[in-house]
Amino acid sequence: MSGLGALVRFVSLRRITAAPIRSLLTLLGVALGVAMLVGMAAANASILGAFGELVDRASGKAALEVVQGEVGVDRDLVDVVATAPGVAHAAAVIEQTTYLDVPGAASGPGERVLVLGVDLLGDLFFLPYAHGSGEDVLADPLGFANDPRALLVGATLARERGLGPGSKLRLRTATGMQEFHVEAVLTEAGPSQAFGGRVAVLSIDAAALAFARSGRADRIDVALAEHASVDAVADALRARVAGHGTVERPSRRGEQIARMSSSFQVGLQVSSFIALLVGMFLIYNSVSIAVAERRREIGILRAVGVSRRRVLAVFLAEAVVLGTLGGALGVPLGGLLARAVVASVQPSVSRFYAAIAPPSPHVSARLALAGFVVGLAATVAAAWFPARSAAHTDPVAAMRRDIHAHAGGRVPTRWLLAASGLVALVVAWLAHLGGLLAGFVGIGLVNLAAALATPALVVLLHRVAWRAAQRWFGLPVRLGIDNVARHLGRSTLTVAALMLAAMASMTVASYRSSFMVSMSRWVEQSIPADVIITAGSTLADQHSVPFAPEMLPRLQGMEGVAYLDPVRFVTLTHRGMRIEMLALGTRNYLTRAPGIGRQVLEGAPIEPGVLADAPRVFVSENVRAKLGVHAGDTLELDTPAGPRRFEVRNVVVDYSSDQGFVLIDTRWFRDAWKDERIDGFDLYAAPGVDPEALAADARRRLSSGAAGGDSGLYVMTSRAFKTEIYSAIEQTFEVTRASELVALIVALLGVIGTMLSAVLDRVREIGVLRAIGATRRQIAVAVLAEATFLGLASALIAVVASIPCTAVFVSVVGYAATGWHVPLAFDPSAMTRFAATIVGFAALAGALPARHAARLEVPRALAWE
Amino acid sequence: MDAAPPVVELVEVRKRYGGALDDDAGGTPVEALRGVSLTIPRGQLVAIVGPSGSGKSTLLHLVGALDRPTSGTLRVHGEDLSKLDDDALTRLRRDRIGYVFQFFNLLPTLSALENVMLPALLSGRASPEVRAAALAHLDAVGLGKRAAHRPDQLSGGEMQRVAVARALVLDPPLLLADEPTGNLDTRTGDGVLELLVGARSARRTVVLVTHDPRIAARADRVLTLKDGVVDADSGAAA
Repeated sequence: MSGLGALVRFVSLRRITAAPIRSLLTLLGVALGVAMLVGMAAANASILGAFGELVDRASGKAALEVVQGEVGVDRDLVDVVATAPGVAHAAAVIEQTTYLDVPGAASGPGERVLVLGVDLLGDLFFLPYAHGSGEDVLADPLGFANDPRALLVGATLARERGLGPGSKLRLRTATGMQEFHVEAVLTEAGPSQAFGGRVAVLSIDAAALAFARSGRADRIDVALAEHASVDAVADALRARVAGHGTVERPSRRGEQIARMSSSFQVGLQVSSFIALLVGMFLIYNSVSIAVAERRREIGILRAVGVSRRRVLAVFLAEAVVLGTLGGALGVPLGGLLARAVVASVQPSVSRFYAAIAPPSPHVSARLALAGFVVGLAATVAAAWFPARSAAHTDPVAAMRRDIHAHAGGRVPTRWLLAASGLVALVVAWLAHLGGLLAGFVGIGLVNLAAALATPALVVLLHRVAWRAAQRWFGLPVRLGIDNVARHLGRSTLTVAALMLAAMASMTVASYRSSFMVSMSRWVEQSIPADVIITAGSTLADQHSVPFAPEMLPRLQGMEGVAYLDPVRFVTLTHRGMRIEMLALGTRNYLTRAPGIGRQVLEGAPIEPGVLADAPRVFVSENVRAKLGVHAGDTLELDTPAGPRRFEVRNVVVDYSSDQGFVLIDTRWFRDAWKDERIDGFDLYAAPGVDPEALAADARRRLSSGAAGGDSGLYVMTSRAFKTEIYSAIEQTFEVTRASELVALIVALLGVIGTMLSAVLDRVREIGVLRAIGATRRQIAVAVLAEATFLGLASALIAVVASIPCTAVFVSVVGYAATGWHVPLAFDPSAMTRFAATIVGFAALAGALPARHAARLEVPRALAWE
Repeated sequence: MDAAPPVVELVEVRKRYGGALDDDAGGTPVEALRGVSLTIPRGQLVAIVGPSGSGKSTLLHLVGALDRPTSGTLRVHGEDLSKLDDDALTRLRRDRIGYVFQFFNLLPTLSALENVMLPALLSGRASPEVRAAALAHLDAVGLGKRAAHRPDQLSGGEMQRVAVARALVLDPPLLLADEPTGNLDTRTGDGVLELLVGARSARRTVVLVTHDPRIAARADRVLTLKDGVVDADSGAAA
């Protein structure tokens, strides 16, 4: 056995097994760091995969597609597309997510399904059931095509809901809940796997009828002739459909959605990065502890002739062992974390970006290896400095038994503070530069600046705490505070780790608060209706099932209604970007919206008739930022009737969409887009009429009257609707909570490690204190005081550092991601809560070491080393 | 014969180490003291000598109420230590026993004066009188002018003198010292020895563990330990 091998075997490995709690803490730190990295990456991959699946699910064979936002393309365009040179196949498709109920089934409430409408009488090339199960799934294709109530269901859906040929089920349609029957079950292949297998297929005519798509489809799928060039065919198609549709590669839709949610995903990555950073602090801490604990042993090894290089190698070898085990543990933990993250993210991604049903996250071999290697590298890198310090230990000093032989090394606080200042300058420059990347780099650098400033701030806070302890508290508290300065390097690392975890939480809380404050003000000023009715989703989003125009008469003539406004909220594609357009009765709206005048950023004061009298629009500030349009400019938008020009009357504050928002009068919308579907009804109550009574009446009028209720019909008072919006906004921040928790746990493990180390460093001192009359309680108080100080210092620095971090997050990242200038609004209650949590948890983390210290046997402590 | 009750009284005291204490549960237990019986009257200067591993430090730890015997009876200041809980033992150490260690063991973050005041501060007494008493003790050991210095600004001899002042600040009737000159050069050690010898009085007993024959020569009584038993006791006949 080589000398190093013997050292590792007899010194390191035995130490790891002899100090199981310490080894376990280090192991957990590495494992959690790796788990964060792997988990976040796997969750991202799963969500991205779901976006990709969005595209693949109905256009697996399509090389190109013709689309026109949410209003869709004219189905007659299929003939124009199909006859273009290089096109082998073309077929129109309708896609709609909606609610499904199985009458009489004890299988729970209605759930969302994806409905595909396919053209059975046209080009059969794209038929979803052609994959795997073959055409024999339908005994009578023509009969199916002509039966508006017949559908096919995916195998998963059939299994979950106990469906088979002949089963009855109900779907929410544009005219309420309607009954359908199952013609056949699709096997688990191709598009039938879309939306987690919860898929139903209708003939395109049945789908058009069910979802009020008269003459329109969501897209036309295009497959190319052999050897045809995609670019050439795309150019030919563009020429043919100009003004009536956009020609895209299917992958582009996925890219668009992925890009839209990129800020969301980068947020996840930043969270995992911070967790890994905190994990590295923990690793550093743990290895430092090992060095502190074993100074005498190192001194003996050096005295008996072990070289510095070999001591370094021994500690690095230990790091490799712990890194390997931690990495191996972290990968499966990451898989579990990914599931939790996807479960918490999926609702908000679905709501705001695209209706997805992400597959269960899978940790690929490559990702597992990457996480493992990063964890191992982080462990070895974190172990390097303490290992080097171990290697340079003076054998004589290491073997001394005096109390002050073990003081920590000097920390260049002033240099670090100066470096922090320089980093802060770079942050200021990046903030000035703007953009998503600059914003995220800026946030990373704010973290770095805060970490660099931590030693100086700890010294400053230590002075204050020392005076306070001297004046108001007893000697034990002061001894605990004293110990912070004795081991400034170790204290600083712990404070920095805790501070980073707390700062991340506080920053996210203030980011959320900034958006919530602005959005609440906007919501209160912009939603004057008393009752709001939607279907498929409480908000007019990806899951909305628009009402057919014939539903309007059901509400007309209602008693107590001063004004009834059918509202349409659609996604348009403009210059490759998605823009949300709201069409409503603007004369009524602008008269009643209480704060609309305060939301004007550009343009003349608003008069009630400005949008109704001429083809004009309001645009949100993010449309101005992305398209460079200003009040008085002309905005040209594609419509089914070709390009139409609209005057930009005003630029206004509007938070309806982080992609861009346009407000138009219903009159001009219908005139240009020929779309009479209704996403929601806004009811304005006559004076003195109770909105609740109005809502009950509306519900009764819209109800299909079928047993089992109306899944997906939402009739809400204004207050309930606004609450729904607030909860939707809150939902977008859900994802951050998991990472906050992990970062906090990692940091707290660090405190436990630090305090154990502090106790181990002072065993002899504790023995002396006990020998000259300190009680167990006084010893415990000293340890707890030190832990509490670490928590308090972390919390205070985090509060201060979260201010610039929030500023960069809101003003640079937030603006780059949404195009909204949102004023900063800190959340003092959340910041106080996080600060209190950190202090409380730090004190709690000190409890175990405090107990250990208080229970030390005095003779043994005096003979320690 | 001294009519006053003895300060320290041991009857068949045994002390066994092994298992949890040494993290060596699987090893053979070590019997450090094997039936030691002795009494130390008030006002004596006792030197405990003997080879390494003879049980000197164990005996001192027991007498100093830092540890409890495995069997036998140990009384210090008339108190049966086996009947005292940890708080009572702590109070006994703090108020009635002074301790001087080989490695000084001053707290590095406290000044010399604060180190001397430490036993008083731990008992919650931080009055101007205590401060004055601590200063007086520092003066007595010749370090009155270095009261504000921290241990790392003091020499080894100075640190040990501060440690002696600390041990005496609450005027304990029993002063224990474990190799008090073992880490000092001869001249400095002599100075510290003088302080310890001077600390003995009619009402204060001093017990020292030492290898130094010069200290033993100054003692009223020399106890020689060997293999955990009293091999010789110069005061046994007295």
